[in-house]
Amino acid sequence: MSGKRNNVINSYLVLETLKAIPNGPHAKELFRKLKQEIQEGRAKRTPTDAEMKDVIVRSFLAPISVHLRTLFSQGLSEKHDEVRLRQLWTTYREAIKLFAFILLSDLWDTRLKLEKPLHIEEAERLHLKAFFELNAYTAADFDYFLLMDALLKLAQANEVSCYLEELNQYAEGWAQNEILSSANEHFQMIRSVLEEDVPSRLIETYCILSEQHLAHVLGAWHFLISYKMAVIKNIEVQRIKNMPPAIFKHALVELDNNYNDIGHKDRWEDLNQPTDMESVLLYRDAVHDNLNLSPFILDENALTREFNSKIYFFSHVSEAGLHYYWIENVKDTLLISDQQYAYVKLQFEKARQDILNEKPLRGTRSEIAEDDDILSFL
Amino acid sequence: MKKYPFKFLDAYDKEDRKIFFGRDDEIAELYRLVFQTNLLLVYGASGTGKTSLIRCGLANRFKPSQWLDLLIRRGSDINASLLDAIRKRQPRAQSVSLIGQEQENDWFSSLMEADQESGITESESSQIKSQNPVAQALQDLYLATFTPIYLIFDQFEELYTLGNPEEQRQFTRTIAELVKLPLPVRIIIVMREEYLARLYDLERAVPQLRNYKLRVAPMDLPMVEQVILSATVRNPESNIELEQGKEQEIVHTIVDKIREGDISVKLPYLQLFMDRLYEKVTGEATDRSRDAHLNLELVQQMGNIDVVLANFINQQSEHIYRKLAPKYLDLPNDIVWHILSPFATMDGLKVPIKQEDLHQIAATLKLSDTGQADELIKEVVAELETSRILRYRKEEQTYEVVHDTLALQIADKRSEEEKTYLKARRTVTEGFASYQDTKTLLSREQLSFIRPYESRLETEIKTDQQGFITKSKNKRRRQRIGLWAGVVAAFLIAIAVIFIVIKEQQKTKKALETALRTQAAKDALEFKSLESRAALIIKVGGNPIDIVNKMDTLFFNHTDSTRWKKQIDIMRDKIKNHNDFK
Repeated sequence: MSGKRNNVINSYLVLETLKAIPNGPHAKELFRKLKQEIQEGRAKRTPTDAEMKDVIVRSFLAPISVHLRTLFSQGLSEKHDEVRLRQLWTTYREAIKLFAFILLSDLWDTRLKLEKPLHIEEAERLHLKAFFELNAYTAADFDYFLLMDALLKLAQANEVSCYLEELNQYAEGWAQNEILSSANEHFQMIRSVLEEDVPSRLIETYCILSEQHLAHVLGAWHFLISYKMAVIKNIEVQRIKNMPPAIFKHALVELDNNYNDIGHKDRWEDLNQPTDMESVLLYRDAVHDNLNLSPFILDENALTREFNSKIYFFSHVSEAGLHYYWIENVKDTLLISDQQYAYVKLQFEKARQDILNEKPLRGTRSEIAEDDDILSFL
Repeated sequence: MKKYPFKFLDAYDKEDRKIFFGRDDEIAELYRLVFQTNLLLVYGASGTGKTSLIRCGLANRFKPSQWLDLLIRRGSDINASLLDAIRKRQPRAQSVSLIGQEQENDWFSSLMEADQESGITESESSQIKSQNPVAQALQDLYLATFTPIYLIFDQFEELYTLGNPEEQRQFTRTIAELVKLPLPVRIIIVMREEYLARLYDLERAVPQLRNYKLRVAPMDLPMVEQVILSATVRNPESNIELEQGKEQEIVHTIVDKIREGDISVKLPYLQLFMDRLYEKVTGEATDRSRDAHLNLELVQQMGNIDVVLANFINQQSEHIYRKLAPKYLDLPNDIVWHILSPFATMDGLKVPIKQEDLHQIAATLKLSDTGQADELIKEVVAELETSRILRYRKEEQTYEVVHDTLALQIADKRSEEEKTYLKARRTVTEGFASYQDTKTLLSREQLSFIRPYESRLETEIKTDQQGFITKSKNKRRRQRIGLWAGVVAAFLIAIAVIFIVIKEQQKTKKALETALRTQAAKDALEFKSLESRAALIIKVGGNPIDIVNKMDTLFFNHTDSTRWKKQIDIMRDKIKNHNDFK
């Protein structure tokens, strides 16, 4: 790494991340383009900054790529300031939250498949309980890295093979990984710094260090580019007399690789078996072999049956109920019908009960004939 | 520091968040809609604040890294304006590359060499394939900024009121391509609702336009009252104070004066009324930095909005005339109105005029010294800009009336002659537009209508429109010549027919006479024979009655012949004498 390069905003992040994902389809596409230029007789060149950033943004899953895109945006690429520092922290936080939500969804599915309670050590139970009981105050400070660490240990203890199979290599948890733990330590420090007035003399240093740590963790999580996300809006069954088998037509929006968080991108995909609908799915090769991320990650447009997608992350619980926020702006909260909300809340409560092997909370809908509610809703 | 909390006739933009009130519901709806489509239509009546809703209301729902808005007006061609707007926002090339010149180059080369087989098929490629320059420019802009782009087509009706069919078709093709781009680009079309039907072709090409639209309704009276209170009484940064204890009454009176008997209010009227009120209190023509205290009595003294509006332009017009009259001799006192006239359509819509085309207004002015026309126009336009009647749009280098509300006033103020001229001009422009689709030229009546204005039209319309008039006239001339040729041919044919008829008649008459003569000769011979026979009978005896009857028949056949009559009479006498003798 040259000293000169270090001074250019985003340079470390872009180059280190690109080095980590040379086998991704978008990196390969860029290589092919440059090779083709040489074959056509044009001068050999290195990719432009924009081309490299574009490959990175297109490669990662939408909840991470939208934040990388923001980091690369013109306003945040010009100087080291508090806005950029906050965005670096946000990118890290949302990435680690995505991991946590994936693993929570995975464990919930595994628990139901096992048909027996998960074995949970007390330390991990505390982390999990803390997550399920997050409120407006604790949500801001909650360390998802520790939750991830606990979830990985829990998976190990219960011999769960993770849907993200690359996570199996972290059987001892993330805390044992030098790169990840030092990055988290740094970003937790940044979080606390951002709660106060950041000393201007330190902002540049914080930004540079944060960029480096972010580059390291993205390098470590490079395997994420092999996965895709999609939203299933609804499913139509196409069954013709004496002409088996039935076809399940899925209305879906792909969320990654193509900036599909916006745009008129709904399309139909025919599958032999139905998947879950009104859900955000993670998959590797085929949509039907997926991991449903509800109720931790939701798509407002899927729930309201509108085109395109608008992805929300779970935030916390209050007396008013569950709180979600749009992944690009925490002030933008989920707007769905009461009927839909009841369904989401019920899912969340069932996930909590199933994972923690606990009884329904007092006053929750699951205490009062929840199955009837679901059936009547459906 | 306190500030004037209104905007006169300018749209609100992102920086005006603190003084933009009364549209929370519409903003929420708009914000919801932009996540459901990349092509959205926002429409409503003139003066409902559509542009402000987007540029201030919606823009402030996004962070700077999420919102790169390009406001596009038609200008002289919407397609060129779109491309121009995108390219102008393209940041200058970064001075420092992320990749250093030494080992980073090597690093990338080794990566490329290691990648023996890309394995990417053409269909998987995420690169933009479109050859459309707009799509390419958008990709360049996005890759330079990594910020979602919002293309806001403001006053979109201009494409239909001022544009031509080819321009419209090209724009439709472009939009159909842009909505499929794999880029974070959203398109918002803003237009007056009375022109919605003109979107038919665009909706056919891009059907989602039908499904995602927001109507901006005029603001109702209670809401307008709340807006005034929010901007003044409830706004600690406002430099306008309302008389204490009478705030509600003042606000109610203001609304009553600008509502025109309606249940809603045109927001530009509120802006203009407040501006005039402010000037009345402070005496400041354009500076809005002083504090102003409004009392009920003062508000009551103000006229209704129609009077306020008319007075505003009249005052500015007179002020400019008084200022320039000493410099330009024999300056007509309505010179400002004449210069303003081309800035509004007949229907009271704004017409942007490029700075470089301002000199063309000279042709419409009746000046004694035409040499000074260009300078006069420049000065008047500058004064109108200072008076906030005209606005200079730097991006497009055009001048335009600040709002359609004023354009309507300008349209109403025109002389009958001017209105007729504009009708003639519209006949040409609309006729030309129709010609491009249907190849229909101007009719004889239309050409007669525009004839008195041809010399003026020549200076004010485009070359292709002039060619259209010439073509129409040529066709009309050819029609006229054809008609005359037809008439002459018909005349000649008629003459020939008459000649032939007369000739035939003569021939017939001749033939008849010949036949008659032949018959007469034949009869004469018969008569001779009869006469001989009669003589023979007289000589040898017998009954001559048969001969008499035949002779009578001959007589009747030739009653008009005295010769026959005489001869028959002689024969009768002879026969009679013979009988008597017998």
